[in-house]
Amino acid sequence: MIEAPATADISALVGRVRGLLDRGQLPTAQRLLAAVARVAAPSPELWALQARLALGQGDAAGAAALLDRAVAAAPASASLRLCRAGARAACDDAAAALQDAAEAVLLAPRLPAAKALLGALLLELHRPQEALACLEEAVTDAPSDLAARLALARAQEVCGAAAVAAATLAEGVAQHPAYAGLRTESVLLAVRRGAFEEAVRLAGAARQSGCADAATLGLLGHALSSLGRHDAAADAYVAALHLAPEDDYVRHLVAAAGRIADAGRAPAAYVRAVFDGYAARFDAHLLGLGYRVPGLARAALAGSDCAGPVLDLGCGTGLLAQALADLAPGPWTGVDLSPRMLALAAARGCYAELHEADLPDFLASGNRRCSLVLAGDVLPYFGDLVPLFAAVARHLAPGGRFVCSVESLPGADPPWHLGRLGRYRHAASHVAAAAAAAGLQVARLDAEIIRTEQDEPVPGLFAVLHGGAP
Amino acid sequence: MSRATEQGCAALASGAWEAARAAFDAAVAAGDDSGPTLLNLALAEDRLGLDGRGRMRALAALHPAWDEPPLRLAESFRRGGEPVAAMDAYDAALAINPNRPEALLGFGAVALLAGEPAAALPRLLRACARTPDAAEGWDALGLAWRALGAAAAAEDAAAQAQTLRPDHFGFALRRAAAALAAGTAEAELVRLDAAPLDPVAATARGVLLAELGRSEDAAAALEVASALAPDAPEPAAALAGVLTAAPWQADTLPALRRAVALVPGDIALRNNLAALLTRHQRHEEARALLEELIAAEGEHPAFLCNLANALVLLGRQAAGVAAARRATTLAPEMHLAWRTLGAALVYDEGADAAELRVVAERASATLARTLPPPPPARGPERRLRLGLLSNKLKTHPVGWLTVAAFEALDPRAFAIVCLAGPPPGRGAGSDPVQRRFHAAAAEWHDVAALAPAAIAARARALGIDILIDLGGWGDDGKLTACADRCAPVQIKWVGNQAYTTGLPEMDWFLTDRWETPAGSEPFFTERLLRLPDGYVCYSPPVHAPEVAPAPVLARGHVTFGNFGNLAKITPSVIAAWAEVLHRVPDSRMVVKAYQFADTAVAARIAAAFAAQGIAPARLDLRGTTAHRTQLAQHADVDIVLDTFPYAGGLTTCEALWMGVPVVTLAGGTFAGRHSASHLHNCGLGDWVAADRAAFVAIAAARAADCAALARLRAELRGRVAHGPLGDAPRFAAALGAALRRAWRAACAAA
Repeated sequence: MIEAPATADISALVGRVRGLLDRGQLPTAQRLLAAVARVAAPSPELWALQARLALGQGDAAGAAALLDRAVAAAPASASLRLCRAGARAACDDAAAALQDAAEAVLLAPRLPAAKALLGALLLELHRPQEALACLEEAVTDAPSDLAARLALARAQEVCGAAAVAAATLAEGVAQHPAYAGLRTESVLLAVRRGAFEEAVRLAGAARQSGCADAATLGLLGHALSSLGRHDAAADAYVAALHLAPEDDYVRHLVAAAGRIADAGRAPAAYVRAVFDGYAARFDAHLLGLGYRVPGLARAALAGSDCAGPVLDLGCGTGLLAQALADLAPGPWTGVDLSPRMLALAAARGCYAELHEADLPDFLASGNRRCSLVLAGDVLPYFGDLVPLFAAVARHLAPGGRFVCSVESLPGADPPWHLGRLGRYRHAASHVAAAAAAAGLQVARLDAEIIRTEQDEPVPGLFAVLHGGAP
Repeated sequence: MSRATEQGCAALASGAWEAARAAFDAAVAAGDDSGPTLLNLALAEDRLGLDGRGRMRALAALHPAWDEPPLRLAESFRRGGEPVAAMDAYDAALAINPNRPEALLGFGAVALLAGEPAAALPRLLRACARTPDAAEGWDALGLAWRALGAAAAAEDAAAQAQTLRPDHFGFALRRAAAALAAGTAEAELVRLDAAPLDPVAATARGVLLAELGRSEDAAAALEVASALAPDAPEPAAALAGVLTAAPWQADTLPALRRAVALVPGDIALRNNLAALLTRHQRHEEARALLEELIAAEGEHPAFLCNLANALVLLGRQAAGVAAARRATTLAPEMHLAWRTLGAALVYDEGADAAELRVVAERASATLARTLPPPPPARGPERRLRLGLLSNKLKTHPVGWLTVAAFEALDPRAFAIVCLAGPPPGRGAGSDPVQRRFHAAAAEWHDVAALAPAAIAARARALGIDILIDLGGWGDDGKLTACADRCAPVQIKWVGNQAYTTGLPEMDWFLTDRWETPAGSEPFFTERLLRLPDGYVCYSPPVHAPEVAPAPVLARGHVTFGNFGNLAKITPSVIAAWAEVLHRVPDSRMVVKAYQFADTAVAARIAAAFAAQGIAPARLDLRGTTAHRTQLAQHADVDIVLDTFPYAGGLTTCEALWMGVPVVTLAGGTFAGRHSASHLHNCGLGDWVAADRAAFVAIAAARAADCAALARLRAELRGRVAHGPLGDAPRFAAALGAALRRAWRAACAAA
């Protein structure tokens, strides 16, 4: 029987903790660190380790608090300042992080990581010119520092020098050909500049080097699609889906390309992403201009009695409420998936209630007895309208009206079709059938131009449906 | 005390029995016939295998009031493994001195070992009362109470022992075990946690956590214990045990190596190390360790099984089969032995489907069946819950050959339920193929830690209608759960799918007409569920490089290749490849196998080629690389020469995807016909040979037409992508129809 040594060498144990943290064995590191902390004298080194553990476990605030003690005990340590700047940035306190990063630069002017972080924080705080100067120095001092280079390219772009930013990234790609982050950033920049051929070339090179990730492939699909090369775009979306199979956004684009079975509706995550501005990455241009539904609705409702509650499905930023508020006093209830859209709608002040919800979920419960239900440009995200119309009918007061628009599909079979741009088009006969099945009377079902897209009119149907007898 | 008796006592104390005997002999010769001297002489004689016990008995008779001779006699019996005689002798000592602590404790310990805790108990109670400061007494008392089912008393006694000797690993471990038995494990964990820098407490805590099934926490605690006491064998051995049972930890191998170094006498630990070395592709090291073990400890069947695996993976198939056969002879009821024999036979020359069936049935017959039959199949047309049982639903041949099919399977007809390891994490670091399975599945259940019967019970509770096994027997497979019937319909598909499972409970074997032509039925215990095209659906990796031009165009000579696995390269394979190289002047061959990382292994294979007249310059032996590099290296190959009797599977699909055609010899086993199936399904049926002569002739003829090779190379990827091998919607429709057919058949029979 060998007996255990009575005491253990604290510094050896600390080294072991560091090794465990390096290998990502957080639970084990946590146990050993807790053990060490109970016997070792408190020290900045120990707090820094505990902070590293806390950051690894997603507790940025805890990490920042630990580093407060460490910095107080060792105020001249640039690396502790830098650690705290990272922790504070993770706490969304960019201003405090900036202070730390600036201190770190003063304490250790030759530490490129400090300048890189300072520059990135300046950029985040909308001080792009200062960021640019700082990051140029950081990249000059450490040309192979990836984070600094990425931040520099962003600063250059923000300062209006997109071509210079592209060159900065290209230089980085040449230095680190296997680093996917740089590749993705350079493709993204090309897409933002509208340089789609360039984006295709950069993404192709990334793929040929084996370092294209799902984002690169998704961007490749977007660029190809923008160039009208839809088959190749579909291939790229399929590849992106293979690397990010849980991404409903890409999945919907693959379905829209006809490569996998259509799920019957655009996934909530897709719609939220499109309207929440994640869209900027893929298809800001898909969002329509020349949107005519508010005007059509206004003309259809003018002169009729619209007193009573109004339900605005897929209310977005509240365009319909703004257009109809004087005709339909409400109270107005808006429903949308996108929190950013809802925030803009709230700012208009037209709505008594706003709900962040998926429409089928929202409509599944209650009966709001509305005199008016609106669905402007939201039905294109659903395939089969029968269940949706039935759910809407339950919320209509007797004699209430349901005003909606769809994008039109010629003929009657298929009743709906998922188009390449991720939206469904519907046959007039399907709209009529869904209304009939829900017990709604078709007062109006007219072909109208709903909006324009890339200067082309989008043919649609504008419908006014009546609930049961008044 | 005389000088001689002084020397004798010193020799006894240091275990120098011969010197002790000489010294006491001298003392006796000099006239010292005192009891102690004679008894010491008896002790030395006893240790030397002489008749010391006779002298002890004589002394006991001579000094009836002296308790020492019977006590020493008892200890001699105890050492000699004679518990009954030992207990009698201890009792004789106790009759003289009822409170002699050594006799009380000795009797107790022997009685416990002999399975007589009731006899031990009164003596141990007396021992503890007499010498309450002796931890050993309390420790033994705790064991006695536990054996008698008095869990609370047992924990009290174990706590006494542990408190008296807090630095003793054994006492701490037994206190934890007593707490577990008494149902106070959680309180014990809290107590142990209060001593965070105590390696003994941390070890006990880790072992207790492991007992409670919390293996990740257990590993963390034992890592801490090992860090606190780096030279102590107990935490190292316990950590190795936990890691061996839960191989998700990356650094299992160093932990096990350390444990073996600290506890060299632990045979099971060394065998585990050998198995782990094999898993880490250190086959030569594993083989050496096992041969050493067998030489020292004898032919244990578990050693032979590990040895057989290592030998096969080293390309020494016949020796592997011999080792596995020896294991089945020694342990005909051992499941692992039969399973290992099958796994060796299928690689060996002359692999015979009929013999494989017999071996598989023997393996199957050793499995316990504990559950009653499941409810019958009902509702032939309803949506079915399709269970996928495997730890390989990830980047693995199982993934590349099945995931696209499940993604494209009609979700209105089938809900996919994965019974697998832990679900994938999100984000770039996690396995994208595993995430594809996860995204395609309606449900994901972690059954990694469950025993086979528990897996079957879980599958039944989940209402699985059709279960597809995608793991097989070995290498962390869960196929044993199918013996207990996880579902009314069970189907074997990819994942160690090399020959029949031999399980009467396995209803179907998913296959195609190339894999199992008409007449194959007798080699399978399952019914053959033939798909109309191929039996797998290849999902090419997103990162596959573009197809490179045929190297013959630039080099002017043909390069053959094989990127398989040394286990599949038999002496006949080398002979056939060499014959092809002789038939095609100036040709070269690239052979890539991860085993070639070991230069000695590569040298052995080079020598085998040289023996066939192939100069080393014509041969390019390459070790393992990253997957993408392996794909890219097809740029160096014009034609792949397949292995036999175990053909390429995924490697054939990958060659075709990279534009490289494959010449194969279709064998007599399922494993021997994978390439034939894949080639037929991309229009290369005329690259399939029926015998070795045809194999050589096809390879030579194709090598002679460079223009045709270049044309085919440009077309192949498209043929795979748009043909049955890669067309997932087409495959999924066929798979769905086959699954429905199997389900309807079960409903009709119910």
